[in-house]
Amino acid sequence: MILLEKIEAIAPDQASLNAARKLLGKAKWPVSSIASDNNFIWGECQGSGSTPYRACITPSDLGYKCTCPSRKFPCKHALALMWRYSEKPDEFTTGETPQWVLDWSSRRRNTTATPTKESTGKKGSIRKAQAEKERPKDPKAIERAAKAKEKNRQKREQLILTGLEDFQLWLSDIYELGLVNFLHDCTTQCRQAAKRLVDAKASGIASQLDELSSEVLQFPEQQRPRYVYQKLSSLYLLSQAYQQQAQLPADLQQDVRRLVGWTITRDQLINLPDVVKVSDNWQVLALREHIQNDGLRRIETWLGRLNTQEPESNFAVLIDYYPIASGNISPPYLPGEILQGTIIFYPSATPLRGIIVDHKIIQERTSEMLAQSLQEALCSRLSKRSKNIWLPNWPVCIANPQIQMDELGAFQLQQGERSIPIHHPDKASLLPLINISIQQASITWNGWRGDLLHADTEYGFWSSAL
Amino acid sequence: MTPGFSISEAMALEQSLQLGLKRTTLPQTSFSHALSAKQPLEQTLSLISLASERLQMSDNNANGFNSPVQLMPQEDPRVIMPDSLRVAFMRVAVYKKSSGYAWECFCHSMKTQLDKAKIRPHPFDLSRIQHYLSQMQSVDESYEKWFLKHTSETRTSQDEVLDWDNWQLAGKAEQSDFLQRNRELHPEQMRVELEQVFSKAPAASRQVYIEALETGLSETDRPFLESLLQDRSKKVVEMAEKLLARFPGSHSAKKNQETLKSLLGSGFLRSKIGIKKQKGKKASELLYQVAELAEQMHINDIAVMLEQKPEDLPDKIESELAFPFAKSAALAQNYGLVAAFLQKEKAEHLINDIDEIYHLVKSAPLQVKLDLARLMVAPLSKSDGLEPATLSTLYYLIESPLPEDLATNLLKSKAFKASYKHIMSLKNAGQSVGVDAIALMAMLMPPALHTAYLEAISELPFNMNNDPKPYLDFISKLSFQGKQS
Repeated sequence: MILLEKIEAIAPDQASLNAARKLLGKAKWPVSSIASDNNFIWGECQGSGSTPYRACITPSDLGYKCTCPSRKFPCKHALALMWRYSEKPDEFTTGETPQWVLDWSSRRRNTTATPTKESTGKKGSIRKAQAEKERPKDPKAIERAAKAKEKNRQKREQLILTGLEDFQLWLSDIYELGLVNFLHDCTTQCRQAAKRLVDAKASGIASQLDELSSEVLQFPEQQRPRYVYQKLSSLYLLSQAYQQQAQLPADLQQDVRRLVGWTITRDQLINLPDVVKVSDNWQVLALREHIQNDGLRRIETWLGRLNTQEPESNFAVLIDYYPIASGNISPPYLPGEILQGTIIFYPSATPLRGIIVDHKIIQERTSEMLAQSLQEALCSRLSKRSKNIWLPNWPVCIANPQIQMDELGAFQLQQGERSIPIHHPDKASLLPLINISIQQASITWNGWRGDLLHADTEYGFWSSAL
Repeated sequence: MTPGFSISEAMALEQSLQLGLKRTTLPQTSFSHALSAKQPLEQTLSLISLASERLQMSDNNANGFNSPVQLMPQEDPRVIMPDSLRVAFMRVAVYKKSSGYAWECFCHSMKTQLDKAKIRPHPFDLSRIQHYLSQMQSVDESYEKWFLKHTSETRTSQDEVLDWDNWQLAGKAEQSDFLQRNRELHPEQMRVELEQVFSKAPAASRQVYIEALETGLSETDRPFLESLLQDRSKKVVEMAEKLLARFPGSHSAKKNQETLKSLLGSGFLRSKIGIKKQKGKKASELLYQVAELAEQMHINDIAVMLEQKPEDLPDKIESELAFPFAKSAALAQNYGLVAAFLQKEKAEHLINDIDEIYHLVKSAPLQVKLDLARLMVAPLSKSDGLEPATLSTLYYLIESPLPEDLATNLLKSKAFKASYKHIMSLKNAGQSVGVDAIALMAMLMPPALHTAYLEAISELPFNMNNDPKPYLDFISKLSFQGKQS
């Protein structure tokens, strides 16, 4: 049993306890369990991101760990987990300690949450947190806020349209001077144009333009003009599509708005009508991290649907953003883990990005992913692209491919008569895949290169992990 | 796509964009008229973008791969590390910034244990442990060696891997290390490779090369060593003579015997082997000379000269000669005698000379090594503090934890307590040598003492790179794995 006084003693401040109180409801915790030997308590708390935060505690010494990026120790999730266990132990199911808890336990230093001599004075009070009630909201204030929100939205729409016109003029100047000339000063020019688009509240398109200069450097010099040409053209078509969005199909309209910079919160997404929900078993295929120029770290969790019968929605990507300043983020899931749960997809002509709800980890993989020949996979991507020309890096699953390397250390994935170049930030990690038996492999493919997500091989499960 | 907008038209348009529309004009395409209703700027940009779409839908952007190399993974009979061990292994083996001495020792120990269990790291983990792999010695036929070779070829590894094609390009220390390792693994092959390059190497390098032959010296090396007696370098000749003296009956051995005989003419020397002890400068000089000679001679040759049985010598010599005579016994691979000589050595000297003793008895049976370890733990426990190098060498000597009674003594020792107290008094204790030493005690603790050891160190501030807990976790999982299989 954990005493509330102990939780008070380790709380960093009153605000943390107040925030923890709001997370005490069972609905916030799709998973809350205790180990059969009572050594660990763990839970998954649904925050505002696409993946839940994982918190665990050792009741004996109140050691804790949470995957959230908070700089408060312990964070509100760890405090809430302790508090819930203290007040509602019956809501915790007894289970086998999961691997991520064991990993943390064996790695943890001997630091416990026991207050030090200097900090014996409590910084927060549970009684105060319990006494703090949500103030009833004033209906007039709600109405005023809604009006202000709508006014801001309209203002932003106008700003974006003006910004996109400015972008088109900038683009025509680029074409006037030529792509070879542009490539000489690509970084500065893209950065300046991106800044203007940020000022115009078109943060999505700004971010794509800002990333272009670093993306293009990953290609051989002779391929760069074509790559830049296709990216800039795609952004032009995006700006045109935004200006004429009323004429687009509803799903594609959502793609366009999101790519330009409009966002949907988790709650909005869950409450959208006609949203695509898929409940099935999903395998965590890979985790990818990308440091963006805007100071954010993007963590992508790629999931593959374990169902060979369904031709659609076989992949999902959960994307979370964290400030780079938060340091390394513990990944929410481990590659290879199998989740039984529901993915809600963002509205799109080609649904891929989603959030996960109502899930649990299961131990056994009872079915496989639907795999295709490489030829079929490439065709299916083009078919998707014809529905959405801004198709993101698109995932496909290939049956029985081979990985090969040339004398310059370039890698390719081959299957049947077709082959495509593949890339990985750490080439050495691809080496053990060369010429071994691979039952299936998933890659993302953007028409230029493939990035391997996972491979089921004679050596076991290979994943592109952080 | 729209009919009539051909790929060649799209490519021609792309070509004109490279130089810019100021210098060239957009080529007319069969699609241009479809956009004629638009404003000029919009018309141009739309045409350009649609041409790009045409190119993208043809899906032929990707290229740049040459013919694949015929590379097959190295076959390796060892078992691939099971998943139950991988996490624990990787937690130690993944290189952390400023991983230090303790990390290297833990890795070495893990490698030894894995080799004994005939388990190899999982191929998919190798890219994350390249530093570990380059630090550890892998045999040529191993999968790890194959992996390192090819990552080095594709310039994906930060640590260059030396092989028989490039070893002479490395620095002297690296060359020496490379030769030593290969001599230990494949003595014959190493000598053959050396013979091919020896005469063309500079004198300083030749000296390094010949020194490497000392390990695993055998009759088959004799013709090569004899050929080196004509070498241009005096130092190489001296070393060749020194090595040849180890072969009973060789010219050099006979020369040494004669020298020893002339020294034994003095009454002093006879007293040194148990008759009478003498003092004085000359005596110490002679003693040094005898010691130097003894180290190079077969113990049986010495026994003959002294008219003694080899097994009687330990009882008859004074402690000053114990170490050189032990070396002589090691040359004869008479390890029981080595241990008997070392028992005559002063206890504190055993600790100081532990590194040399380790090399002397590298090939000795385990029981001899355990006897020596028993000799050393007593003075080690009474010392004023623990040294990382001493503890690691003690572990390398026996390549296993200490017997329970010795480990208990060490854990309760004055030396442990002194080190512990010293660490707790330091501000930045995590980086201190003392913490490394206490961390390395983990390697010497048998499973029955793991809990007691972990309790004893629970307050110490280890860093990521010297924390013994992940190491012990791996050892216990490996032991469990062994019992399972």
